[in-house]
Amino acid sequence: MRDDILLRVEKPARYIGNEINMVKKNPEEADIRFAFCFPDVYEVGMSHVGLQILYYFFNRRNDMYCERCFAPWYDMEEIMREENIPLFALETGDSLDKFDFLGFTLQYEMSFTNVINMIDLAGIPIWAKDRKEEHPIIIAGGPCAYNPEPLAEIIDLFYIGEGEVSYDELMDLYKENKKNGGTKKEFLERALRVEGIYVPCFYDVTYKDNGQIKTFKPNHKDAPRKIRKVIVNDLDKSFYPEKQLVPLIEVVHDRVTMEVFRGCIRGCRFCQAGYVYRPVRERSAENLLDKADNLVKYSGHEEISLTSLSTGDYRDFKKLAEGLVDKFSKENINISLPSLRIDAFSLELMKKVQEVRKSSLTFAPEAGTQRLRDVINKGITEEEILNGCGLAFEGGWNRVKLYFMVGLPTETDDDLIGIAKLSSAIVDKYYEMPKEKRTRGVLVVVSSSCFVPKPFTPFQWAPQATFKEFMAKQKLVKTSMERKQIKFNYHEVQLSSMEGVLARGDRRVGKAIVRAWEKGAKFDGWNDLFKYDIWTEAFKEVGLDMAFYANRQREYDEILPWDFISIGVSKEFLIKEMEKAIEGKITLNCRAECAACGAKSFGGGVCYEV
Amino acid sequence: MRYRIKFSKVGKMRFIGHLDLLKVFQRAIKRGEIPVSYSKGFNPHQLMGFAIPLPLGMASVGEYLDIEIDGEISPNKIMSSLNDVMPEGIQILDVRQFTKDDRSCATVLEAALYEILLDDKIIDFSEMIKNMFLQNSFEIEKISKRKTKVADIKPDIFSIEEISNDKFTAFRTIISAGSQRNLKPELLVKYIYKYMGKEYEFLKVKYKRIELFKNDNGRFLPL
Repeated sequence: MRDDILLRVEKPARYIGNEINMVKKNPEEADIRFAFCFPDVYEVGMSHVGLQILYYFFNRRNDMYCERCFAPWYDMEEIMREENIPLFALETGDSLDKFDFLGFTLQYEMSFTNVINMIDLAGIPIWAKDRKEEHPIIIAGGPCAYNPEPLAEIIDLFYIGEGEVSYDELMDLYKENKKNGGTKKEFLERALRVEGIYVPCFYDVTYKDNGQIKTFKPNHKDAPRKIRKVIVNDLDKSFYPEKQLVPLIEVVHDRVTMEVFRGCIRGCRFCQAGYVYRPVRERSAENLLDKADNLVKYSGHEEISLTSLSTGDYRDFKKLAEGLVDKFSKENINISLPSLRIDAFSLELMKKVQEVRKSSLTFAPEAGTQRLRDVINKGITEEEILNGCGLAFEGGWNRVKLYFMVGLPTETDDDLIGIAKLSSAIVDKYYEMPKEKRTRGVLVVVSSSCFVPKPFTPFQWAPQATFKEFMAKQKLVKTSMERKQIKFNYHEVQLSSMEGVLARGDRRVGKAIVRAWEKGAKFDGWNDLFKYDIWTEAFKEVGLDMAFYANRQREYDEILPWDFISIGVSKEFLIKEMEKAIEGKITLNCRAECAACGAKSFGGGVCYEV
Repeated sequence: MRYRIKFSKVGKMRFIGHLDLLKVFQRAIKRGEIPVSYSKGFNPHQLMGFAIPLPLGMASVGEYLDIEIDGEISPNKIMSSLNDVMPEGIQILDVRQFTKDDRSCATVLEAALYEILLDDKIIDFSEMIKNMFLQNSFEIEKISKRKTKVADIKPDIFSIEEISNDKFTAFRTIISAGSQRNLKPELLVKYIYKYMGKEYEFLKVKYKRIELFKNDNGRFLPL
């Protein structure tokens, strides 16, 4: 990138690469050039642990050079479009159209317009059918690939599951096909045999008059009817990088991040990650402590953090946390703890690692009453929250953060008022302490977001609250808050409503996304940049009804757009969970009792723990 | 024990701002396993101090920082350990141990040498500069955060020496730098253009910092 351009944009270091531990290869010597594309700005993408793992996973192959590309910020895009500079990868600065693959990670639905924008900025046709032999193959993975249909006519193939499993086979196939002079179509046909790969052009969808799917069928003899996700069974034996990329500018998370386990034992009924990543598979504490040395040494970071869903459920948590404290506290390296269940042990640990930097404690009750918490299977009671806060207050903390959702299935006004009541009870808990301990006053920060029903959860059939309903609900919560020690924030309603449309969208929704992009939508995940009007207009223009996707009760026998994907958890189980939710019955976590969800069929993880 | 480190910042690293550069050094010191001293207190940080920030986009072959180390190690060891782990574009050029007279580089800094390349060929540049210096003062608008005031920058300019080639006019200049008096080289170039009655365009002029000086009884010596 030219100097004069870099001098004209905000944070030019977003576009220069050159980071610590960046992989340098001669692109001429690589059989496969792969651009890992993160459809958001540099600082967000560089904080993503999946990028860090896959970057080194791909680059461990001598025949492959994996480079990175992020969505350029508005200022840079404007200059690029003005001066006809195609989107480029950071390592070599080469434009993306020179690559064999563009690999997008789909972390959130609201990044879909950025995917399209990046393809376009690279000078590549956005519709798969318009791309020719000379264009790169576009592949996508990540959590939103579990419902790939909204992007089915844009992406050539989707990878359903964890990258470490099938990418080697897929890349070998590609290389062989390229060597033999095979066409792109021949490669896509052969990819049908690779586990976890979905090639949308080999499937046809028909619709009923009411708009629901009538049939979803392969149109190629090799295309499987169901595509089963692929996962690593033994994480200790699978690839994990020794190093991580260290940005030269401040990014969202500037630290060593270690992935402790995948999956979650909890089974909160609103949480997509809790189902699609089943079963729980842990890395051993020995392995992690061993890896930590090099990760810290080669990065120079002064903070190390653990990542996973519900990290407190890690069986060897005590050993790992104390091991890290022993190793690093002398070297002035902070251990950053994720949100834990608050008990005597975790508070003790937090005191040890965080010294006087007493950050606030976070709880996610998600719902205001026990009844609704049972509906969503959030296994935390009011007593636990209050006791936890009590312990924390005694220990010198005086700030508590609470996360809630509004618009959950079966929710009534009582549940919404319950959010305010629970928040007040925490304030009361603080004032139960003797006066001499209450030195700084208490602050309870309450955030409430809008519930978005997601595919592969028991709530995938449930209607999302409408925009108007959400507004009324948030208002009720807000007006119920009476204490001055409580600060109430609520999330953008429009953004959640739109996310609700895209999350359960079908193949036809792709046209609306492209239309929205044509009308200027991008960086939609950024509250201040998101323009709801563009989206409503776009849906209208392509003749689609947003309410059909977001606010409609679906029947159990309806063919859902993502039904052809198998996450190992059966549909019968999800139906059973939905029924139990309505009855307010909880399901115990995987370690307490197997609920026979179906994930045992993968042959590993928590299902086989002794 | 304290050490003074001289380094260059060129190429892509020109686009790393000062606060980010601080982090780049902190992490390099960690990776290089240099036993740096930490401040006491609630949020310990590495004891290090730069002479003066380098503007974003400018290259330099004469930047300085001081670090404090627990114990004593050879300057060469510090230099090689850091050079092994630095990103491309930052090179440690020299490391020396503090003498008892040394004060922090930010404190003693008084002047800086810049090499300035104009995207222009100015006939009789040296002659023009000579005439310019016949004026009593060099008055130019100085734009700071809130207000704009007219300042005389003549006392801040210690030398201007032409080093032009066939195509472009270029010169080396020593001007004041540091906490007492500080002149941005851009303001000098703006003044020269104003004097010539020409339009100044930021993107066309290339600036490079060559050296930073302290004042040793009237002589400028490198930090």
